Amino acid sequence: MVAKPTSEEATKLKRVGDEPWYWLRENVPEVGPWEREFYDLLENIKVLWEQYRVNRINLAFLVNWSTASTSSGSQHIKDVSMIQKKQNAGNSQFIFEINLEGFVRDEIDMGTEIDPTMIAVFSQARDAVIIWFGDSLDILYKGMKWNPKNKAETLKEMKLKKRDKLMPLIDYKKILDIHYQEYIRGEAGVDYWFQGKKDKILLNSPERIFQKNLFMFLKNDCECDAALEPMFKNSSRCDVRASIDYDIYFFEIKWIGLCATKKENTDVISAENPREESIKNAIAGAYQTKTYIEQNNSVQYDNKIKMGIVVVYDGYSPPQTPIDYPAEIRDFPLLDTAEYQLVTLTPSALGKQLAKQKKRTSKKR
Amino acid sequence: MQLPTLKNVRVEHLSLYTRTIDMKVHSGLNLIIGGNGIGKTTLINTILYGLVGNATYEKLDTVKKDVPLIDEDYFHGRLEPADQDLAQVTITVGIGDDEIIITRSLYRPRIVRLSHRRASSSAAAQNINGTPGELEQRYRQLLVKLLGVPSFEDFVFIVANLLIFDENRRTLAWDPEVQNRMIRLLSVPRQFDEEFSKLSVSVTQNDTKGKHKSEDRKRIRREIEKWLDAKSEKENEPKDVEKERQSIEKRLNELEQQIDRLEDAAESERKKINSEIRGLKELNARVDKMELKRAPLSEKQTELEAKFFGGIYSSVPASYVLLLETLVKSGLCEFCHTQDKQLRALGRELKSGGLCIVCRSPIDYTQTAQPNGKKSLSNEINTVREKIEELDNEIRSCEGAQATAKATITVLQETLAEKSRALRHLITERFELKTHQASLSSDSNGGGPDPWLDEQNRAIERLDAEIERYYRRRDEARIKLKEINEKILNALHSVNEKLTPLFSEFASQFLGTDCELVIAQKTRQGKPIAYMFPRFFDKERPSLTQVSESQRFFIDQAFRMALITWFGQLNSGETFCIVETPEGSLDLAYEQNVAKMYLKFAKQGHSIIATSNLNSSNFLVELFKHLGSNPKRRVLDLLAYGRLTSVQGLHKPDFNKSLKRLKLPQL
Amino acid sequence: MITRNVILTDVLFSLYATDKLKWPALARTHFQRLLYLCAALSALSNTEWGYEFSNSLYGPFNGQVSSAADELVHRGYAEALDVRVLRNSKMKANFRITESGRRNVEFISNLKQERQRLGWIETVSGILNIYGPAVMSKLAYFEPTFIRMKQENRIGPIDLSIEENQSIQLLHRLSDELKKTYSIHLDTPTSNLIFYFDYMSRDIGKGRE
Repeated sequence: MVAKPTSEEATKLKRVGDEPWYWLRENVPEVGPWEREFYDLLENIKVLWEQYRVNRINLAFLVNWSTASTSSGSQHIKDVSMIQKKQNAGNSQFIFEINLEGFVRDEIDMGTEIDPTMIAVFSQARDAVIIWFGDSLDILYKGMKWNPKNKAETLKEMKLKKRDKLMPLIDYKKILDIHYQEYIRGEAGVDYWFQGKKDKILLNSPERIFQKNLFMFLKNDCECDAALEPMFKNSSRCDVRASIDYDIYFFEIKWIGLCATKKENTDVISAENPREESIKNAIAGAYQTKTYIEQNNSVQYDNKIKMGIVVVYDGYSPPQTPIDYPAEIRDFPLLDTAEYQLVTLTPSALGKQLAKQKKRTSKKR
Repeated sequence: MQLPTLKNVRVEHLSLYTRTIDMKVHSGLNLIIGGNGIGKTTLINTILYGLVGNATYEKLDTVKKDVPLIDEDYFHGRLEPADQDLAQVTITVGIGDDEIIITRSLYRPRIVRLSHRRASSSAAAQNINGTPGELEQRYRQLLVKLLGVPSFEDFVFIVANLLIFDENRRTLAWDPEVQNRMIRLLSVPRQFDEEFSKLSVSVTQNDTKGKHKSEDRKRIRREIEKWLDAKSEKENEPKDVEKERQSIEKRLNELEQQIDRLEDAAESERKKINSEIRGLKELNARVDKMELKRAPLSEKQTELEAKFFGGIYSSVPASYVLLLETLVKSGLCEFCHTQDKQLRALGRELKSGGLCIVCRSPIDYTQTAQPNGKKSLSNEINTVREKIEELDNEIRSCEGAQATAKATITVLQETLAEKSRALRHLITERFELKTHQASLSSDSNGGGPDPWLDEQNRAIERLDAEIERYYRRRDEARIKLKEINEKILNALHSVNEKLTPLFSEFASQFLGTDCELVIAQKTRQGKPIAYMFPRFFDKERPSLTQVSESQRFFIDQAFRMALITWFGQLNSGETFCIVETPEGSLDLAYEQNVAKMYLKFAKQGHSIIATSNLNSSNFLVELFKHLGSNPKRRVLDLLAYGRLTSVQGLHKPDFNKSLKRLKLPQL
Repeated sequence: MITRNVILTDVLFSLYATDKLKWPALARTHFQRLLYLCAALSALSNTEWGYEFSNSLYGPFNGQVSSAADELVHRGYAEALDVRVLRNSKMKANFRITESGRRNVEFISNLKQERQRLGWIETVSGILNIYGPAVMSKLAYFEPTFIRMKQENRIGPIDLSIEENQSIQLLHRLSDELKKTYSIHLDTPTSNLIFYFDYMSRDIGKGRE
C-alpha cells in the first residue's frame, strides 16, 4: 500500500501536474520517443512567450517531430524580432513549422490572418500540436486545448534554462540585501509582527522565522549548499550554514526589539509581557559567533570557515541606534555584520519622529 | 596418527586487506605483526576456516554442544559487495609427503578447488572434481585417512584445542576434560578407545532395552490385575452383560473404521511428504549443478574483464614511461627540470630493478595502455555475462521453489504428526475396549481356562527371558569396560612419564626454575579420567587460580609445546601451531625467557605462527635477533596490507620506530 | 566487476555525457553529485549501482569517485583545468574529457552492461541539461534520502535500496496521485526523471535574471 502524499506535497504537485508537457504526453503518441527534447522545447517556448507577447503579433508554431532541419540557414524561435517581422510583413498569415530543437522548417501560408479557431481546426486536420502565441499562450492538439486548472499560475512559473543566475555566495552582502528587499521588508515574504502590534511587537521566536526564511532563500536562489542549524564539529550550533567548494559561510541570525511570549505552561502566545532583546544582546551574540569561528577553524578540522556573518534584524522604531560593535569584533577578519530595519515608517511619519527626537535631545541640553 | 603442517596461506579479496596475502609458512618461527584492528585475528580465523571450513566439534563447556570453529556467516560483515564473489582462501597442507591444496570461498562457504599430490607419485597435484558438497566429503575423507584420526570432528577438536591458542586464552593444562580427550586421541591406541566406546554403548543400550522390557512387563501385569478385579466384581453384581457387550461391539466397529481412515490418511500424507522431499532433492541437485556451471563462468568473466579493463586502467601511463626514459637517458627530471648524473644512475637502478620511481614498489612499466582492440573480447564478455545472468535467474527461481517445498514439507509433517497422535489415541482405546470385551466373554464361559489370560502370561514369560538376557550382556560389558579403563589409564601414565621431561624443559626455561608435570585421577560422570597439572616452586598447582596470568599463559604454552614435541617424536612428523599476541600476557621481567622458550621450540622443526601487536616490548626484538639472516621472509607485516585507523595514523611515527628496531620496512 | 573499474568508467562516462551537452569542465563536486543522482534514481532503470555514497559534511560523497578523475588525467583520458592547491593539500580542478578518453568510451560501449550504464548517465544528464550544473548540484544536495540522514544525524553509507530510498518512495506516492487526480501515467524512466526534477526544482531560481 503506497502512502498518500502530504498536503505540502499535494500542493506542490498541483503546480507540476498542470504543466502542458504532461497533458500532451498523455494524449500525443508522437511525444513517446522525444520526451526529453519536447520538454526542452516547451520550456523554451514558455520563456520566449514573455518576449513575444509584448508586440501583440499573433503567432502559431506547428511542431514537427524530428530534430532535422531543412537548411543550414534556418531561423530559430529565439530570433524573436526576425520571426515577428516576418509575421507582421505577412499580415499574420503564417503558421511556422518548427522542429524539436526550435528551428523553423517551413512557413505555412494560411491565406488569411490566423486566429484561434482556425488554428484549432488546422490542428485537427493535421493531427498536429500547434502552439498559439496570442494574448494568452495556448497549446492545441487535434482541436483539443490544453486547459489546466490554474493557467495563469502555470504560465508564471517560468523556468530559466541553465540557471547560472544563481547568486554566488561570495556576494553574501548582496544576497542579504536582496533577501531583505524581497522577503523581509514590510513582511513581503513572511509575517513576523504580532497581530495588532505591527511595528511594535514581533511574533514569538522571531529568530526562527528569519532563520528559516534566509535558509530557503539560500537554498533556492544562491549557488551553494545550505543547511539549517547544523552542528559544528565541537557540538556548537550555528543558525544557517552555506558552503561552496569547501568554503563555509555561516549566518548567525539575531533580532533586537520586543517579541511576544508564550504564557507559562500553555500554548497561548500573547504580547502582554513582551520579551526584549537589546543591542547588548546583539553584541554578545557577535562575541559568541567569534568564539564559534575560533573553535571550529582549527587546523585539525578540514573545514575552512570563510566568513561568519552576524545578521541583526532590528525591530525597534526608527531612527535606529546603530550597533556599535567593539573593535575586537570589527577588526576580526573572519567576521562581518549586517543590520536590517524591520519597522517601516512612511517618510512623513519618520520625519515626525526625527523631529520629536531632536526636541528631546535639545530639551536635555 | 599424525598431525598436518601448514605450508602456504593465500588470501584474496578479503576487504580488510588492500591486496592479496601470500604467506609461506616456514618451519620455526613465523610472525604476523600489526596494530589493533588491522586484521590479525581475522587472518588467523581465515586460515582455520581454510583448514576446517564450518565443521563443528564438541565444545567441552559445562553444557556440551556441537559448535562450528568458524561460523557460516563469519565473513558476511567483513566483505564489501564487490569482493563477495571473489574472496577466497587457499591453504597448502602437508601430511607426511602428501600435499593437499584447498581453496574455499569466503562469502558462500564452499570448497572451490581441491587438489592432492600423492607422496607415492612424482606427478603434479591432481585436481579433484565434484560438486561443493562432494568436495567437502572428499576433503574430510582424505584428511581422516592421511592423518589417521578416528573422525574429522576429532581433527577439528585438535585444531581448536591444541593447535590454536587464541586470544580467549582457553587453557589446555588446567582443563581435565579437554586434556583427557586430547591425550587419549593422541596417545591411546585406537583399538582401546574404539573398544571403550563400543562397550560403553553396549552397556547403555542393553540397560535401556532391559528397562523398556521391564516397563512392558509391568504394564501387562497391571492389565491382568485389572481384569481379575473386574471379574470378581462382576461375580457380585446383577448381570446385564448382553447390553454392554453390544455397545462395546458397536464402538469397536466405529473405532476400526476410524483407525482405517486415519491410517489411510497418514499413509497418503507420508507419500506426499516423500514426493516433496524427492522434489526438493532434485531442486537441490539442480542448484548445485548450476552453481557448478556458474563458478567457472564467473572466473572466466573476471579473467576477461581484467584483460579488457587492464589495458585501459591497470597499465602504466605513458607519461610515466616518458619520464623514466628521460631520467635514464639524460638524468633529467621532466617535472622539476633538475639534471644530474646521480639522477641518471637512480633512474637506471629503478628501471633495472623494476621499481616505481615514486614509491619503490614493484612495477611492470612495459605494460602500457593498449586498449585491446579486438571486438571479439567484448563479445565474449557480453556472452559470458548473459550466461551468468540466465543461470542466476534460474538459481533464484529454484531457490524460491526450494523455500516453498521446505514450507510445504513442514506443514505436511505437522499434519502427519497430528494424525499419528490421533491414531495412537484410537488404538489405545481399542486395546482397552478389547480387554474389557474379553473380560465379559470369560464370564459367559463360566470360569473355564481363559485364552486372553493365557496369552498374557505367555507374553510375560517371554519378557522375563529377554530382560535377563539384556542385563547379562550389560553386566558382561561393564566388566570388560573396567579392564579397558585400566589399560587406558596405564597408557596415560606412560604418556605423562614422557611428557614430563619435555614440559619441564620448556616451562623451566620460562619460569627460571624447575617445573614438573603431575598426573592425577578423577571420576567424571562415572568415567575415570586422568589429567596433568604443573608443580613448581615446591607447590602443586591443580587449579588456574593458583597461578598468575602470565604464568598461566606460558605454562599452558609450554604444555602444548611439550605435547606437540612428544607427538612429533612419536610419529616423526612436523606440525604447526598458532598463538595470538603472546606479548599481551608478558611480564617485562620474563621477556627474554619467553623468547628463549619459543626459540627452543622453533628448533624442533614445527612451525609456530605468532601474531603480535607492534608495541614497545623487547619480546619481538629478542625473537628477531634469532630469526636468521633474512628475518623479513618470516614476517608478514599486516600494516602494509591493512588500513590504519585515524588514531593509528597519528602514531605512525611510533609504529615506524618499532619497525626500525626490527629492521623492517617503514610505513 | 571490480569496483575500481566501475567507478573510473562512471566518471569517464560523466565527463563524456556532459561534454556532449557542451557543459563546462566539471569540478569534482559536479560529477560526484551527478553520479549520486544517477545512483539514487537508478531503480527507475533497473540498474544495480554497485557502490555507495556516504553522508559527509559536503554532501553525498564517495572517495573513490573523487579521486577517479585524477587517475583519468594521469592516463590521458581527461585533462585538468584551473588547477589550484588549497591548504591541507586539497587540489581543486575542473575536468574535461580528452579525445583519448572519448575513444575509450566508445570502446567500452561494446560491452552491453556498460553501454546501458552510459545510456542511463546520458539520460539523467540530458534532462539535467535543462537546469545546468549549478542547479544539478543543489538537486543532489537536497535529495530526500540524504537530507533525511542529515536531519537524523546519522553517519555512514546512504542506503539507496528501494525501501529506504526517499526519492523513489516520493515518486511512488506522487505518481499514484498523478494517476488518480490528473490521469497522468508516468510509465517510462525518462518521464519519471523529468517529473522528479521538475518537482524538486520548482522553487530554485524562480526566473531570476
